[in-house]
Amino acid sequence: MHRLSAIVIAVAVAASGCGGRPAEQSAAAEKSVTVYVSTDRVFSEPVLQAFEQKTGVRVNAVYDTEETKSTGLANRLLAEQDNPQADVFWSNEPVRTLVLKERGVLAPYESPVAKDIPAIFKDPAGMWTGFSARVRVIAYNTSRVTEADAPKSVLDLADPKWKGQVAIADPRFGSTSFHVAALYVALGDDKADDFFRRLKTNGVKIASGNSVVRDMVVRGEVKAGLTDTDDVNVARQGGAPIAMVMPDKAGMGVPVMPNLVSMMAGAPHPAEARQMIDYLVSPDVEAMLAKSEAVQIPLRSSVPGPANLPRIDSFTPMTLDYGKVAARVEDVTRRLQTILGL
Amino acid sequence: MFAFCCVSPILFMLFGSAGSGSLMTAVFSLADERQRSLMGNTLLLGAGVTGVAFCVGVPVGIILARCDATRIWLARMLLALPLVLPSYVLALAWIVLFGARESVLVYGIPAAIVVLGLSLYPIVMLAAEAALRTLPARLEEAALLAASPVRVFVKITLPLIAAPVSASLLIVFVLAISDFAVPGLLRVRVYTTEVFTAFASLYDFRLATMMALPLAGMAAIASIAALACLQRPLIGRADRGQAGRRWNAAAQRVAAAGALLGSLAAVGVPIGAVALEAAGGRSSYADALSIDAVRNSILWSASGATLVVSIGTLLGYWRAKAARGAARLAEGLWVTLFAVPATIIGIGIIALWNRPGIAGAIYRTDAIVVFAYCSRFLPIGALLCGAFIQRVTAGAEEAAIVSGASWTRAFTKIVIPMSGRGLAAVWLLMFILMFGDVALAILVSPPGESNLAVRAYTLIANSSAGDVARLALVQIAITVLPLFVIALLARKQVRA
Repeated sequence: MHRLSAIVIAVAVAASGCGGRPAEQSAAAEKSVTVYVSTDRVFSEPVLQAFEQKTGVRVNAVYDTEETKSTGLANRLLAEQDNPQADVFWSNEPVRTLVLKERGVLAPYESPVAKDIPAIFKDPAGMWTGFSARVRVIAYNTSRVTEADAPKSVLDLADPKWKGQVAIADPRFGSTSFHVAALYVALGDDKADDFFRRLKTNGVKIASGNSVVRDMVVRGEVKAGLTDTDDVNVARQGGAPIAMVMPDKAGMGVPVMPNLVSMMAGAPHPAEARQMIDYLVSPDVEAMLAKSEAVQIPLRSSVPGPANLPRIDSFTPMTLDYGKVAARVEDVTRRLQTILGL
Repeated sequence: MFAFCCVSPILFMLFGSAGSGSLMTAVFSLADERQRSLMGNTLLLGAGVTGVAFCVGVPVGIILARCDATRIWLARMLLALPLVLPSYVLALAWIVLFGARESVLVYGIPAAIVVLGLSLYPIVMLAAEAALRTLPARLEEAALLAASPVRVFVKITLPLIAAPVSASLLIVFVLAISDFAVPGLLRVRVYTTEVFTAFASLYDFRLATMMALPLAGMAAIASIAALACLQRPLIGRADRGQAGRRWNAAAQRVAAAGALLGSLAAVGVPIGAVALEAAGGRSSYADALSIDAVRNSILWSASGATLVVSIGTLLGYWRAKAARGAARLAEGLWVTLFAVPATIIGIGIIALWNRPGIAGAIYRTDAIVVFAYCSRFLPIGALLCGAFIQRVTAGAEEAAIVSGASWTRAFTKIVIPMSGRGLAAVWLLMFILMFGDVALAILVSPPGESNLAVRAYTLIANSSAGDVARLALVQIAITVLPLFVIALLARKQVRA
């Protein structure tokens, strides 16, 4: 027991000696920037590593988990608001960024590199800039559904012929919360309420996340589900029997979710923060993300997009005021808790 | 230290929330039928999981305790493995094993009860085994002269191990009602989701804090009920060389073989299902193997466990000496504090420490993670330490003091050694729980640093089921290694 005790004590002492970050201690000698990242780590980490190699600026990254597995980085940013630790926030969907903007956590910065990004994907006040987008899609199992029979509109999912064969992620969290709020803004409350009531009557299955929806479609547990482009692509790369449809191309438009990058108010390293933002909104990063498994669609039509997805200027995106969508999230969450019985 | 570590972050959040309209929102929500339904599901889940953990953990703990420690060290380690597996992974294994059919067997409250129960039973098992090993053998042997083994078990053995087992069952109950991942995957609507929604969907700290009060209330009521039913255990001496009754050699061989087979089933089936799923993955196993993350996991958890047991031992000693009313009040408070969701504690810690000056300097180091672990787990650590220290006879300690030993000497030479096995089990449990922590680490770990659990969860976000399974296997392997080393060392110490 004495040797065991000694080992335990030694470990504890060693751990207590492990403190502080080399970047913090040698800030004068080595530049650093702290980035909080909600975009999936498998896609974002290589981008940040490339920034380090290119600029020599050390990146201290904090990554996020899937939205239903932890309360996430947005809460950390809000909690740290009075003494910010982060310089930059890189989000993979608009809602979190717009909540932070509303709470006064962000600082304005309009990157000169982003001049050719369409204005609809930039905040007029300069609080955030969009780049590389995902799209909300209808995924379907190719063993059970032909391309011709696949639903073409989100509203088709409430058709009785899909009874018990549709899954969506919990609409209170993540990109699904953005999508449902966008539907309420686009359709109006009455039509949107009616749609979700019919979806409930149709036996829609509520999964814990977009990747779970995708897995349910792959397994054939359901024929179709609402998810994101990157989720479907990951499964397709693995040879799974799954394909996707961009919904409502001919109707209300396809929901587009750009990545958003913002500078934090009171950022400890503002110069490096601006350097990071300039890098993230550059055509090079859009090209990287297009080529990755994330298959993110560049917002610049001049940048080559993923081979198996249409370009941003080839379909009609849902006309969205991201601010209005974000403002509806709380109300829509409460409505859907009642309608869907969550 | 207890007030500083555990109480201050929660009080900070409570006082910051009480003045807002969130308190009234939370109060009125209790009158809402939907909320009451969610609370009913949560209570049912908690009670069911506790029942499963008791039915599995106590018999297995007894079997292990009746065998020589050197025979069953491997079986014990394997049987404890489900606690190491992330509960989310066990739920995935459940879905894989039973197919993704829409059935009450696969989804729903019964399924969640079984999955969580099988995940948490090792807590009860470890507590029961540690308690039985220090139970004076002569108490049972004397009773066996006049009563049947069953009567002795019911009237002597169970009451004597009731304190630590009850403490472990309370921990299981609180962990069950606090879990979000398993109910989410198995489509069970529970109250925890309300707290989670307030954070992750509405970004309303005050509302989340107030919504956590019913959860804390459930834990408080459970602890009061448990303490009311608990008979005060007899205080026995744990003489060295006499501790715990053992079965004869033949019975031990059979029990050890049975434990090993059972452990292979308990662990092999879910891990096998995960491994099957992992066959379809494409990511490299090396993706999750970050030396920094492994180092952080081990060092943060070991430091946190040591700090919790150190302070918990003193708190447990106080509890053992305190008047009955004060002791029960303390135990109720500890259980209630543990029911507070980790995220609330994390946000409270950020608010308290993330400020200019020395506090901010500490906030930016790894030490803040250790403090966060202490805040979260010290209440149950104190509860468990107290349960084992309570069993140390007062006579031995008093005899030492009367003979001229200082309090410190009597404490370190009598109390600590006599409760050593139990404290070691508490340390191990704390280490395992901290090793798997995501909720706190993701909130307070310094930028650029993370532990293995956070790394795994950030990498699995939106990965395929196969890749999730691969990362889970890596996490299991990394978690098992230090436990295997500790088990080997402890086995050698016992033989020596």
